[in-house]
Amino acid sequence: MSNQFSNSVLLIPALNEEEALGPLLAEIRTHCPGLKIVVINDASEDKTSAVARDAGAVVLDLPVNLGVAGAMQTGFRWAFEHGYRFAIRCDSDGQHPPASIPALLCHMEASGVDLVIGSRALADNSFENSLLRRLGIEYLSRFLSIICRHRVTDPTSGFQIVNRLLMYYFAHEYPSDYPEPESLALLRRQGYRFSEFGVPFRPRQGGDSSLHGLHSLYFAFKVTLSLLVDRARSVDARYSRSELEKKLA
Amino acid sequence: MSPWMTYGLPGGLALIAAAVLFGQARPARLPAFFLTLIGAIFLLIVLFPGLEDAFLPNKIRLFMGGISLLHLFITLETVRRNALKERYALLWLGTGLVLLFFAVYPDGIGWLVQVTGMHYTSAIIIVVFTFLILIAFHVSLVLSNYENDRRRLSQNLALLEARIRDLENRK
Repeated sequence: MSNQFSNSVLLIPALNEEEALGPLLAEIRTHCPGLKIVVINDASEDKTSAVARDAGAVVLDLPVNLGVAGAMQTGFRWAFEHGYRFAIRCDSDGQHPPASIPALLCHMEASGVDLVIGSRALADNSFENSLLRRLGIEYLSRFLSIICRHRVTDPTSGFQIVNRLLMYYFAHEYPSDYPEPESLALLRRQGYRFSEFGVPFRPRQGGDSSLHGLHSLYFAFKVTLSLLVDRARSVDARYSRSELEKKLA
Repeated sequence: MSPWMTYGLPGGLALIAAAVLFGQARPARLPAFFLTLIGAIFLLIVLFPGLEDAFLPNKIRLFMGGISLLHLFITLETVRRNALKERYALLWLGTGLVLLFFAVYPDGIGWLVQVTGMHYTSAIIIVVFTFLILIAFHVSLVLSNYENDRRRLSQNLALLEARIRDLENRK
């Protein structure tokens, strides 16, 4: 069966998500028939792994908790080794609507960029009701836009698609502290391009964001520090876009 | 009456007795030798009270020398017993050697005393402190390295497990 999804893989990092995962995987099957699903189980203590396997997903069971960055890197390594053209990343808490995946993929194909971000800010500007959180996110997106020399509206969105070049790059080097904003800044320096695409996010099915009030300002501060440290490092020529284009051609 | 006269005799005898008791087995011989040495020094001081006055101005040096010898001994012993890797022992050995050097040649620390106006004791503490900071830094470097290794290994394990499952299902 060859369709829009046959050369793509969906990577879902999951930690103790046995409840949200089942409905999410069923929903993905409905909206994206034939899409390969890989769940990266970040050493969950519940039945996350079994739920995912019963739903027919490939499961990568990490023996120790590596955090979302280490889990995603495992997924990128798997996707690259299995020759997929696009790797889609989606959170397991149901925030990222699977119904938007086809549109995101179309945008990826049409724009020809290396990474597409599903941005909740482009789709619906009222997604944050807390003033301090809005302030933190607003500041971060401006700072990141300046660093990337490209407009970023949703710096922490984990709803992304990457191509093979970035799969290879991320399989080797992936920032571990704040992967979403840091990877954007890094990939721009290596000569890659990204583009945002408006996607309406849903409220989380389970759990709650850890960012509340002053925490979100502190978060913005820590991310800024990480971004500055990343800038102080030299560009890794081995993974620059031109180099990888030659290597993976 | 000096405390040496009160505690020197029983202390020295106790140390030598302990050395004789526990020093029978071969691996304990070297520690037993050190214990006997310290006990003998105690007894010497008790027997020849003049020695104490000779040592008095240099008590801190003696103390530092003893500490550094003990430190060097423990480091070498843990390396010998494969409890500590050589590469991590280097900084510890360095600390012990520097302390020993300053105990033997106190003039070496003279410039630090002159520059900072500290006492000999404080200067020694600063030297030790510097080395402890270096060792702590070294440990965090090693830890970061291990964290990278751990990440790679866990990922490889997860990928291999998935591959085995895939091969089994294909059969």
